[in-house]
Amino acid sequence: MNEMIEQLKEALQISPNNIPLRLHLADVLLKEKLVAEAGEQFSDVLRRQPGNAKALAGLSEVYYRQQKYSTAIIMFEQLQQDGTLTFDSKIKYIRCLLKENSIAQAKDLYQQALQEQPNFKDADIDAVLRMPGMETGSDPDQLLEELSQPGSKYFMEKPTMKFADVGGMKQLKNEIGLKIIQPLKNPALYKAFGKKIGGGILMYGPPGCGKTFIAKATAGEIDAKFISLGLHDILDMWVGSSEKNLHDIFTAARKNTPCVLFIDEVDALGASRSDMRQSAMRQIINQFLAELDGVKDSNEGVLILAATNAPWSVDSAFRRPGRFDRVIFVAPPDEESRKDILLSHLQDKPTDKIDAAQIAKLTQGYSGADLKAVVDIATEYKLEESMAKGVLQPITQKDIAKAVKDHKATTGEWFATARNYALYANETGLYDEILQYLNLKK
Amino acid sequence: MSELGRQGHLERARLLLHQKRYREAEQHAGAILQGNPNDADALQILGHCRLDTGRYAEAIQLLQQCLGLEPGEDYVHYLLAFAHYRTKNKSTALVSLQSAISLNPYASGYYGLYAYILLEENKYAEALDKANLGLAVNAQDMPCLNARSQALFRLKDKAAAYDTIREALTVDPEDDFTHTNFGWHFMETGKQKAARDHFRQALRINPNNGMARQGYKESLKANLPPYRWMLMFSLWLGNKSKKTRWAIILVIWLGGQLLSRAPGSPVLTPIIYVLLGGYVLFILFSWVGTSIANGMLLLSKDGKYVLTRPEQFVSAAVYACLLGTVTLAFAGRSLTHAVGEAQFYPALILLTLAIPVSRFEYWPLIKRRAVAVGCTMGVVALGVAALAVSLVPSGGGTVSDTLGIAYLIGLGAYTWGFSFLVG
Repeated sequence: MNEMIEQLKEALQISPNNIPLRLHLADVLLKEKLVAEAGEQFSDVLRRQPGNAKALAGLSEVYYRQQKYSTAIIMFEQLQQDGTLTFDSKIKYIRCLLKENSIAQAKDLYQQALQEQPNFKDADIDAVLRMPGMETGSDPDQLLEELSQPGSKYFMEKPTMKFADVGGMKQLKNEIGLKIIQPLKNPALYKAFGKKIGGGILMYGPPGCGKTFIAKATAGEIDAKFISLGLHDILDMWVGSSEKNLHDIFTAARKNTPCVLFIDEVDALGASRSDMRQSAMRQIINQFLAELDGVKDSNEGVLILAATNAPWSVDSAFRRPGRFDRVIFVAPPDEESRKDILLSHLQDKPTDKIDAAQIAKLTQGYSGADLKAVVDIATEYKLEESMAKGVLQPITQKDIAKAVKDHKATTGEWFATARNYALYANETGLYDEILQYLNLKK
Repeated sequence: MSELGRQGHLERARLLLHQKRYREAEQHAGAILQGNPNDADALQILGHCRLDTGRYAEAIQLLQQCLGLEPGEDYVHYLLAFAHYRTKNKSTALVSLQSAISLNPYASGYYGLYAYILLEENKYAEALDKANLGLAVNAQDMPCLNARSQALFRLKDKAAAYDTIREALTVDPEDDFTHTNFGWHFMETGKQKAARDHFRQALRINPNNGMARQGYKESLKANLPPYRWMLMFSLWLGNKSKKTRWAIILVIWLGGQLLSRAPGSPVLTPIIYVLLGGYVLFILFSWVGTSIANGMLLLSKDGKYVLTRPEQFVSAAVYACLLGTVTLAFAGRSLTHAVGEAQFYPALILLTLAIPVSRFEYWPLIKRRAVAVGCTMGVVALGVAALAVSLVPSGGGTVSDTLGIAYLIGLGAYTWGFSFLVG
C-alpha cells in the first residue's frame, strides 16, 4: 500500500495541478489512517481550488478524526451553506455538535437526516438524542414487548380493579359506560339506532383527584389492556420520526384490542409563541388528530381516554365531534369517597381506633393525593415518636387531625383559576360542572 | 442533568409559561436550576414567572442574576424594565429598556413599553413617537397599537385614536389587552355599557386578566349614577399631573371651607346651603361610595360573583350602618327621651361610623401596617362606645359628651391621616 502512496506522490510532483489525483491520494492516506498527511493534501486542493466540496468534506473528516470538533463544525457549516452536505457528512457533523454540546442544533439536524433515511440508526447519537429502548420504526410486536417492560414510560398492563373499587364519581362512570363501554358490549344495539361508535372522553380537574385511577378501572371493568402515556414524556424523545412513534403506540393499542389508551397531559400538545419550531408541533398535533380519527386504521376496540389539569389550554381542535367530544369534570372526592380513601391508606399501618368519617368531614376540597399526604405526615410523626420511645406507637385520631392542619388542600389554587374560566369563558357550557361544584350556578 | 433532559424541561417550562401555568413552569425551571444554579435560560423563565405573578422584588433579583451571566440578552433587559415599571421605578425602567433597545432595535414590543412609561409621565407626544417607532418595525404590534391609541386620545385626536383601536381589533380580535384598554377608555367617557361589553370580551378570552376583571366590576357599579360620576371624576383626575391633582383637591376643600363660613343673606343662603349640601354629599360619597355601589352588585345576578369576600362583608356592614341611621333618626327620641337636636345624635354617630367601617375594604392595604390596623379598629371601637352610651336613656351626661367629642375628633384625624397611614 505504501508503494502505491509513493507512486501517487511521484505522479503529483509531475502534475501538481491534477486535482482528482490529489484527492485520490488524500483518500488513500485517510484510509491508511495517515490523517495528518491526508489533511495536508486536502488543504493543498483547497488552496488550488477554494470551495472544492470533496476537499472540504475530506478536511472536515480529518479534523473530526483529530478530534478538532469546533474546526470541523466550521467546515461542515461551509458544506451545508453550499448545499453539498452528504448524508454521511451530516452524521459526522451531528457527532461533532454532540461533542461540543450543541444538543439543540444536533437534534434539528438529526431530525432532517432521519427524514432522508428513516431507518438509520447510530448507537452513539441515539444514546443522546433518543429515549433508550424506544426505537423509531420498530415493528409493533417489538414495541409491545417494550411496553410491557415494568418501568417503561408507556407501561402496558392488565388492571384487575373495577368501577366498584372507585368510590364516588357516579356521573363519570355513567358517561364512560354509555360512551365507550356499552358500544363495545352491544355494538348491534348502537348500530340499530344509527349511533356512531368512537371518540373519546376528556377528563379534567385539579391534580391528584383520580383521573388515572378511573381510566385504569375502565380497563378493568371491560377486561381490557391498559396503555398509559404521558404526552410530554413523548415530546422529550421527539426526534426524527416522532409522528411515527405516536403511530406505533396507536398501532400497539389496535393490535391488543380491547384496549384502553390513556393519554395524560394532552395540554402538552400546544405551541408556545417562543417555541421556534412551532410547525413541528403543529405536525405532531395533526398526526395525533389523524390517529384519533382513525383515518388510516380503524380504532375499533380501542377506547381512548385523555386527561388534563388545564382544559383551557387544550387545543380546541381536540374537542370536535368524533374526537374528545365528551368533556367531564373530575371533582375532588366527596365525603364518602374521602372516608374510603383514608381507610385504604391506613389499611396496613398500625393505628388506634380511627374515626375516618370525622376526618372526611374536616377535609372538604382535599384531593386523593392530599389525603395520602395527610396519612404520610401522620405516619412520620409516629415514626419519630416510636424511635424516640423505642416502642411502636400506633397512629391516633389526633395525629391525623394535626396532619390535616399541617397539610392544606392543594386544589384551592386550581379552583381559583377554574372559577374565572367558568364565570367568564363558558359560552359553550363546557365548565357548567365547575359552576355547579362551586355553587355558582346562575 | 443531560443536555437533552435540560432541553425537555426548558421547552415544557416555556409552554407552561405561555399557558400562564406559572407554578408548573417554575417547577420545571427549578429542576434545571437544581443541576446548575447558574442556568441563564432557567433563571429567565423563573424571573418571568415571578414578574407575571406580581412578585417583583424576586423577579428583579433573578433577572439581574440572569444578566450577570448573559449581559447581551435584550429580552431579559426588557423583562427587567417591565419589573421596574411595575414597581413605579420609571427612571430605572427606562435605563433597562434603553439597553434592551440598543441591543436589539428590531423588537417592536420594547417601544410599546417605552410609550407606556411616557404616557404615565403625561408625555403624550413623545409616547406617540415611540409607539410609531415600534409600528415602523412591526405594523401589527399590539402593545404599540394600544399605546398609540391612548396617546392619540390624550392628544385629543379622537378620529385617529379610534382608527388605531379598530385596526388593533382587526389585527387580533382575540387580544384581551386591547379589549381591556378600549373598555377603560369608555369608562373614562362615561359609556359604561360599551365598556362592559369590551371587558366581557377580554374576560372571555382571558378570564384571569385582573385589569379586565377590575374594569368589569367598575362598569357594573357605574350603573349607579353618583358612582359613575365619581369614577369619571377620579379617572379624569388620575390623568392630570401630580401638581394639578393636589391643586384641584385643595380648591374643592377651600371652596367647602369658604362656603361654610360665608355670611348669611336672604338671597345667598339657600344657594350656599345647596352647594354645601352637595359638598358634604360629595365628601361622604367619596368615602363610602364604593361600598354602596358594591351593595348594589350584591343584589344583582351578574355582579355578586365579582366581589371578593371582604368586599361583600364591608358593603353589608356599611348598608347596616345606613339603615340603622335612618331607624335611629326616627326612633331616637323614644329611645333616648332626648329632645331637640340631641335626638339625632345617635343617628349621626352611626352615620359617620360608616366611614371607618368602609375602610376595611382596603384590608389588604391596611393589614400591611400595624398602626393602620390599630387606628381603624380604635376609631370603630370609640364610635361604637359613643353610640352605646348615647343610647342610655337620658343618662350618659358628661361621659356621653366626652366620648362623643373624642370620637368625632378621632374620626376627623383618621380621615385626614388615612392615606398616610396606609401609604
